[in-house]
Amino acid sequence: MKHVMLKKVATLLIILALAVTTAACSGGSGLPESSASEPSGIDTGIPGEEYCNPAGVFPIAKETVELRFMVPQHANVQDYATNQFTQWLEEKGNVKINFEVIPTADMGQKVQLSLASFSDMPDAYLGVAGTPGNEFFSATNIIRYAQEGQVIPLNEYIEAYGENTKAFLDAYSGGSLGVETLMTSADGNIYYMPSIAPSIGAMTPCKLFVNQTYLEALDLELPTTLDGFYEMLKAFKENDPNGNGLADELPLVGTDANPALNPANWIMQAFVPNNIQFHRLYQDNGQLYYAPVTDEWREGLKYLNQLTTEGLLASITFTQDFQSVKQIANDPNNICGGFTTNNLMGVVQANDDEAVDRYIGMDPLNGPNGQTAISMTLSPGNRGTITSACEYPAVVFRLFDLMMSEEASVLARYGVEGEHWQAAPEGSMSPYGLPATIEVVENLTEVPQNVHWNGINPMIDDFYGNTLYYSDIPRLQQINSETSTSYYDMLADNYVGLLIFTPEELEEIGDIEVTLDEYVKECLAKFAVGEMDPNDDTVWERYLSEFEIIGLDKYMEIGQAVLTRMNG
Amino acid sequence: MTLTKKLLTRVKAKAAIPPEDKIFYAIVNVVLVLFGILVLVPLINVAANSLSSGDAVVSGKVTFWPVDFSFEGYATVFKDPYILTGYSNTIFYTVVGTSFNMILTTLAAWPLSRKDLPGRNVFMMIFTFTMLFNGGMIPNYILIRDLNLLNRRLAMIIPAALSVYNMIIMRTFFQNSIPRELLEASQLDGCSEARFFTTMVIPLSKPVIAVITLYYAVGHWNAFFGGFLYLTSKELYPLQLILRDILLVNQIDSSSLTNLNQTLNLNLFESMKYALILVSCIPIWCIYPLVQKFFVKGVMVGAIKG
Amino acid sequence: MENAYTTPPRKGVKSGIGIGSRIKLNLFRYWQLYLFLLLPLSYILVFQYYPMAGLQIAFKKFSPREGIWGGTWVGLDNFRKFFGTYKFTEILRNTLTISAYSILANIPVPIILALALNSVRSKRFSRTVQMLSYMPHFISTVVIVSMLTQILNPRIGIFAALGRSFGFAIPDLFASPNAFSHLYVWSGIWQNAGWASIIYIAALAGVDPELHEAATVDGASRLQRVRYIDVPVIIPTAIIMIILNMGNVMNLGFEKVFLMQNALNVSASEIIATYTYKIGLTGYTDYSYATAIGFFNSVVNLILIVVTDKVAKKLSGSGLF
Repeated sequence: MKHVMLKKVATLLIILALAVTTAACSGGSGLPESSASEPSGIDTGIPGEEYCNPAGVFPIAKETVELRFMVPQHANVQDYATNQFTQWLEEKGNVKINFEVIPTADMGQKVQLSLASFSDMPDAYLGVAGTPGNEFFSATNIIRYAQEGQVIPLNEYIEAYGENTKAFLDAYSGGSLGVETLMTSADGNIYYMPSIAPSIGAMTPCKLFVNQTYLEALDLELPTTLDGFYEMLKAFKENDPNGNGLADELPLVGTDANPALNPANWIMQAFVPNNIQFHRLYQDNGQLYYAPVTDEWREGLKYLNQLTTEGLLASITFTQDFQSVKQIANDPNNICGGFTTNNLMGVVQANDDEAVDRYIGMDPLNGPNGQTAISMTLSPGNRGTITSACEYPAVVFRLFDLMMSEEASVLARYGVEGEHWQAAPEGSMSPYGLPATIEVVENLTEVPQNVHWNGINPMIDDFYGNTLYYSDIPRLQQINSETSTSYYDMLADNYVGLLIFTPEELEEIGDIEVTLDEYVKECLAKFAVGEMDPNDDTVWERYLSEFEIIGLDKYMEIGQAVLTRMNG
Repeated sequence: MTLTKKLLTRVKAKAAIPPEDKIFYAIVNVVLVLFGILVLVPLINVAANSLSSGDAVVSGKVTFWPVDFSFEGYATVFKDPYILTGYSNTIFYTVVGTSFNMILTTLAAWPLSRKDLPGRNVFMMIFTFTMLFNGGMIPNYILIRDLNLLNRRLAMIIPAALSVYNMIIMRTFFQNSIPRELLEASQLDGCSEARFFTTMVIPLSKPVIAVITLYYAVGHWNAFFGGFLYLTSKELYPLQLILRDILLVNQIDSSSLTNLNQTLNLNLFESMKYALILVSCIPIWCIYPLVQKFFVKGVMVGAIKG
Repeated sequence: MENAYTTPPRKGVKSGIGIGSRIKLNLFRYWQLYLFLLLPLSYILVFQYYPMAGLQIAFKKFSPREGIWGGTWVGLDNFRKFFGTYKFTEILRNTLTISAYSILANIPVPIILALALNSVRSKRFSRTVQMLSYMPHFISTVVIVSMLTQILNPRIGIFAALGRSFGFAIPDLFASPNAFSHLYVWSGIWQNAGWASIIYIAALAGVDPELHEAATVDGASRLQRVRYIDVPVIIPTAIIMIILNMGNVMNLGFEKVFLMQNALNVSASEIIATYTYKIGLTGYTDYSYATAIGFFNSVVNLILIVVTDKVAKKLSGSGLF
């Protein structure tokens, strides 16, 4: 596990170095690149190259061209047309960008509709791919648009013009979890430009936070074993830690609406790799495994059942929504013993001083699966696709590649140096325990602004996310960052990040995948509250046989083939 | 009538009620009061939530009175630069759209209400079939595109120009409330269909015309699907689309939170949900009393006897 | 009241006009009615029937490049896939039960409300209550479900507090599949009864006041007046509403069910619309499949509306066709 972390930090530094070198080389030095991409005369076969200067030469387009980008509308981007980032791109690219802004509400439906009817496609789509898990432009699905002739492959462009892209792919390479594998469609082509946010907080999606006032009142230590955890929760429930004479404490609570907020998932990770990001699949030595049918899963269910039926994990977890969790966590009567979340600041009210001081992070439990944390694979989201309607694909690609550079990535998140950020003080540290790089002067994240595009474009998002310096950091953020760092060291490394199916394979198993998830979620709840008894063999057998009816065997067969294919 | 006479009439009227009717009225009054309370209480809760700060709403403390009084829900909504265009667009779509709707609907409902019209059942089936079967999003989208109506105001009006459901309701009313004697009498007088329609049918049907107008108007007022499907310029968006976007934008996924501003926004979203309800439906509440005026009891019934 | 053309017009009525000109008058009359129909009919043909050609992709494998008229024919494959869905019968059963329950339960309350509002002596009271009654219709589904969950919260809801004062704890109703349809339907009735009563109030507005006066003179009580004058006016409208709504059974809306659904009640709350939504979540929308499901829904709706119409005609004499 430590090995993995070192590798990730190392890659961060490598990409920094590479990006700096690239930036240094392309700063308008005027020196032409090698003759590999001679613009005129020689037919190298890359469409649109006649309008485009060779890699490294700026401005990008030989003569000003007009481009049409379709982008999602967002209140935090005040006006794409006059946006600072737009102006920077237009200058470096010698282009004029016309924006077609579509409402975020159901944009997936709208974009798919315009594609399906071949209506009025723009030159490129940026950031309209949908939400994670629902990306119709994902590496699996995008090949269908390619087959219908709507989007174009980018491989030759990456070869000819994509220095930043190539650096990015190299930096995050590595078997079936490497970004290049995760981005390549089943026919071997890459059809989109990515964005990833390699932030420690995001990669540790399910962290447990415990009420320290309870621990103090009952003079308890943070547990590390399953039994210790059970004892702690029992004490929370029975010994009135909030001291009001009522048994109103909820030792552990959450919601099922978001898998990261369901403590059941956090608990299961102690027994078996619980990949909540991708259909609970994990791998070992190239072999694909499905967690919910393993014996370890059953052991986990027994433990979960014990906790829930004794009221230690509140059963309303499985019916209530996120709002209710927030209400409970912030309740002035101090009734919440613990919860899981990906971000402490999303649950606890920042302006409620008492609630802010209540919770501390707790490490994962040491169970049959060792002491591991649920992880989020760095899956590159689709931020840029070039359509077949584009007349200047080379120009557009070079713009995309430019966005992947450090300079652009920083501008697109933090703004301009001096104005919005500055170098961090000498020797300072970030909340994640890493040497700090920059300090934010004027916050541009998730507020209405006109400096960048709010992360809809290809980039390395949150470039300095792990190394931001805060002169005065709020307690919640501090605790969240520390807990994230601790979990980061224990990330599970045997997850399956993504399986990229061919359209034919997807035909067969697309519905099965969805049904499996729903069935597992339903049974997890039922086993927990006791409607299904995990100790009863007949119930367990019936549970397993249901998977066969749904089609798990076919899914695993095809999945294994894909995994082997992706592992190379 | 003088005041005393008025009072006397009322007293006499009250005294003249038979006891069984007194019970009847008592029960009816109680039922209505209970129903009124049942409806009013949650509404007060909605109003209170809309006037509370986001934090108060999220903590669930708000019951019947605003907690931590604040207009921030409304302020966020009205701060949006497109709210005004949203309102004016929706008013335009509602007025023009409803007029168009009513013309089409009445023109269809009257002939179809006439059992003596040859081929009536065939026409009925032709219309009703479309209520059940629909080609789906793609063919409709392509049609609008091919007619060059994409991103045009007419795209909000024409595709939904006739609701067969509403038309059938109107037809039922025509069938049940336009006396056949009236039609025959007018025919004897040499009155043409068109004249009968305009001078007799319409005035006699004020209640149903008022109700169907209300249905269409409210339909337009709440409409957003056509807008999101066919419109791309924000200047043309109806109110609901603007409101939906405001709502969605503030519905930040908690995993992306990194600073204080965002958490405040998240709570704001909760208060805004309630403010939005009031913002979008207060105009309807103002219009309804006008509609009620048309619920006039049989104005021209005496026309036959005369 | 003999009016609605319950019988065709009498033939051979003696009148002052000759036969020849009467025929001419007939044709002329109907010609104008057909003209009336022309505009709505052309609208229907262009904007409803023409796009209906798109239904064919339910029987095809849709390819955007080839459009609606292209693509390969696959016959009933899409339907077979739909019927073979895991737990299909359960999903279909849930859709039909919740929907039919909702439609039938939603009939009496608006009628009673309309009759009550019409019978009250104080017009001002009537108008006030009426204004209040239709307001919930405008509350968004999200807020309705949110209010419902708050009220029924076993920890902090109103009923829980009441229960505690009597010494017992209420169960989490949202965890129970059995309770789901009742929660769904009755919250819907609360929300829509007022709005649905408007059409009945309009119908009652058409009642001749002389009838009421005559009845009072004859010694009828207020209740009897309601039964014999008001109710018969409402019945044809009520019947049409039932028939029309039965034609919407399969279109059970997605949003409210989805918000109320959770892992413990899903066996009762998974309906066609929520299932279709989850399938669509793999990202790429299969338009052929979606159209096939829509087509199936339409066929079932058609059957239901025709059956209900026949039943209504048998029971009451009036129907849709």
